[in-house]
Amino acid sequence: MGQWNGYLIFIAALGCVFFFSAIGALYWAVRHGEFKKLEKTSRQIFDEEEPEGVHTDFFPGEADKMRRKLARSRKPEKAGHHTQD
Amino acid sequence: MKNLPLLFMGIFFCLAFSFSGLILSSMIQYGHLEPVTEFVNHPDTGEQIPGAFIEIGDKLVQGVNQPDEQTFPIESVGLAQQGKQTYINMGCLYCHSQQVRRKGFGADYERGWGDRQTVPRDYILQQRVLLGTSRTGPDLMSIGMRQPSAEWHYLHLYNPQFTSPGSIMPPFRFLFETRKIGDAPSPDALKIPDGFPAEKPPAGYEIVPTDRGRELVAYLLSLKLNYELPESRFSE
Amino acid sequence: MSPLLSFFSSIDPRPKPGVPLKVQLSQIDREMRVPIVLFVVSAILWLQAGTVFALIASIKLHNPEFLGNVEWLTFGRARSAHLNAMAFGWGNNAIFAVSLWIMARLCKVSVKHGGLLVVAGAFWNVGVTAGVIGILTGGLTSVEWLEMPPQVAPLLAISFILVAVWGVIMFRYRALGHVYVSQWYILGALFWFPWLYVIAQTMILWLPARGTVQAITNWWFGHNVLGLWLTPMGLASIYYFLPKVLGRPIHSYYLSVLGFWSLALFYNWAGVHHLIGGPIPVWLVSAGIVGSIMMVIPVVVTAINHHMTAAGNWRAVWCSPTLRFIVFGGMSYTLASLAGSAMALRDINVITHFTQFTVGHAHHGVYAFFTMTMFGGIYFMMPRILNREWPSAALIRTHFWCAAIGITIMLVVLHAGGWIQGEMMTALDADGKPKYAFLEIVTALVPWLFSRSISGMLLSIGHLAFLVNFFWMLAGRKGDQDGPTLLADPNEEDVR
Repeated sequence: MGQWNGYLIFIAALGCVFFFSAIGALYWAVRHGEFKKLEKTSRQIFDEEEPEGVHTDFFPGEADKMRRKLARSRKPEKAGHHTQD
Repeated sequence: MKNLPLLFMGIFFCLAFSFSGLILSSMIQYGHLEPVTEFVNHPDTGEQIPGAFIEIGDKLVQGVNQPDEQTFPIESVGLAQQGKQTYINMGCLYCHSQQVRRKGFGADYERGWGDRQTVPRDYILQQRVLLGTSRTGPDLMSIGMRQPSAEWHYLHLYNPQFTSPGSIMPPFRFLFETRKIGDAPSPDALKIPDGFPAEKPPAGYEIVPTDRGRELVAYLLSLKLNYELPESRFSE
Repeated sequence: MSPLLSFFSSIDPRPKPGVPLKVQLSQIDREMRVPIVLFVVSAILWLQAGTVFALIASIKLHNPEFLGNVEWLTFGRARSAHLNAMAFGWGNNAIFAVSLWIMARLCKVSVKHGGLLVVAGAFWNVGVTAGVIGILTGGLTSVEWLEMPPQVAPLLAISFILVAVWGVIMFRYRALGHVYVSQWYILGALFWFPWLYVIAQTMILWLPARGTVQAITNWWFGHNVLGLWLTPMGLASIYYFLPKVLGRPIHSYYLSVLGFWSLALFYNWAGVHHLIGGPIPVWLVSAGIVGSIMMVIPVVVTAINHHMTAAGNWRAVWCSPTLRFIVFGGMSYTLASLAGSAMALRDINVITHFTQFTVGHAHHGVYAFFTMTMFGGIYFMMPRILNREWPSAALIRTHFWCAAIGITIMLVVLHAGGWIQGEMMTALDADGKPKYAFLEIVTALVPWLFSRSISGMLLSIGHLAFLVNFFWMLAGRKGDQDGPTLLADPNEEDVR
């Protein structure tokens, strides 16, 4: 129907604008090295106070016990599956 | 990604895209809908043909609304308009929808909630559109036709168990008042069914709807789907 | 220096150079202590208020005479008060606290002028209180997710922006160049929410759009409150706390970036699936269905990422209160979102639409996912903010089990009851007549609604345990320094 054309063109134009700006932004981002060392960013949450490899949360009063337990269980019994809920 | 403006642009565009795609484009598509008459006078024969448009050859001819003709949908006015406020602020919408889906999709038609599906034009005159997303209670798009009796509505609102035993609709007794009978009983005093002695007013007293109760019932009675639109006919 | 310049330099939250990290971090925590405690206290109080309204509404559904003559607690108002107390009282306050803290930690900067944040937060709570009272006393708008009387909207919008601005300032002055995925989610959500809110408020309540454009706007908004506000904040918490507590970086950072942009792109469109079959153009419904189905991409990507991070560390997950909640939330996110995509399919939607199934689905997303992640975040954050330990492990366990079992029961009964309701509603006999009268459906639904109230009581016990534990902690003495969740106290001399 004729009256539908107006908004179809509108949506198509909009989609094109969106699509090309996305492409443009991606191109720009790659050119400017936005994606370099991306994996390194995932380590940003650690610092020397709470470094990688250290558990930082336990039930109150159970930290030492659980820390020892975890250290023991890590090697021999990996992936203890008893905790699914 | 470390560039704040770029990140911001992306965030902005994503939302703007859906806003334009869903809301702006639907405004463009049907923001201009107008009420229509049920009939068009055929320009050649003068014959009255249902619908706002007729096809003559391959041309669509639009009917012209005459000043004395009733157009549809009908705007709710007066008491019904005020009753809608009560419907809104009591939150009726959270259990009752006001939309009829097409025949074959769900059982809206079979349940008698409407003889045709509702379409955008049905809602254009409503200041607040109350489609609803829950049918804990039945759809109310045509309740004014299914239950045309004001008395039924008063009883049902006062205590839904009177008319619909087992219903989980809340009672709306605060839309009524118990008052001393004057010279003669009021015509709209509730006739509490005999099965509910505890609900009867004391002797010499009567239970009558308050203004809000009256308005709400006027609104419910005004909900009718008794007209056709060119894009939605009873046969469909 | 001009006053303007000195103002800008005064909001610069970067620590002075040369200060040791340990001191920096505890300085951040100390400067954020007052606003964050305010947010968490308000959040927990709103959680209790929302729970009370929820119980009232839930009991009313199977026992309509319960408080039946109290006008301001009639079902429609009580359930709306529940929703708004939970979403804008509990949800937003919890988000303000957790997301601003994560932002501060990741940017390694703090807030200056925390007093303004306190004022903005106080106004937010005044606004929500006024809104909920408005709902109960007759200002209910009957626009889903926008129930509060429009008069409170300016107050809410302004105080929200005042809160959110601190998130942006922190981001602007961040110490590290690269941006962690949690920061993207938080930044995105802080921008999205006010836009959504202002547009919806305008197009539905102030200058109502014509006809069912209102309904489209309504569901674009309502679904995006979940999709572009609660969900990003929940995901930001998972992306931060899961690797942080395990001491193990997220499995794939690329996947998390993909997850972010696909969510930003597709979730916006999904809301229209609340109108399938309704009086709106068919192509719009199709767009909504496509958006809903495409949501599988960010969901699966995120699920894989989270699972691979936690895999092999289940025991560590189990002995951390934070991760118990966070992982429960993460799993619920996957399930709820996949269920949501399925519910957008026409064949399934025709059954589930208009039933308690939808209510179950909403609780799946908002409680089992979002609220659980916020619980987890608060369990991690508060000991660091207050520099003391949670007083009772038993109360944390009570909270966890009541919440986990309670919400699981609720989801099962609402989904099952809703499905049965939908099947009965659409069932036709051989003559093409409805098989069940409407009241038969209602009667069949009642036992399920009753079970829902039971599950709600379990949740209330959990919330009470949380409340007691938190205020006990707030009132308690300073903890010892070698607790597991604590940062060492800075030497006051070092800070100067």
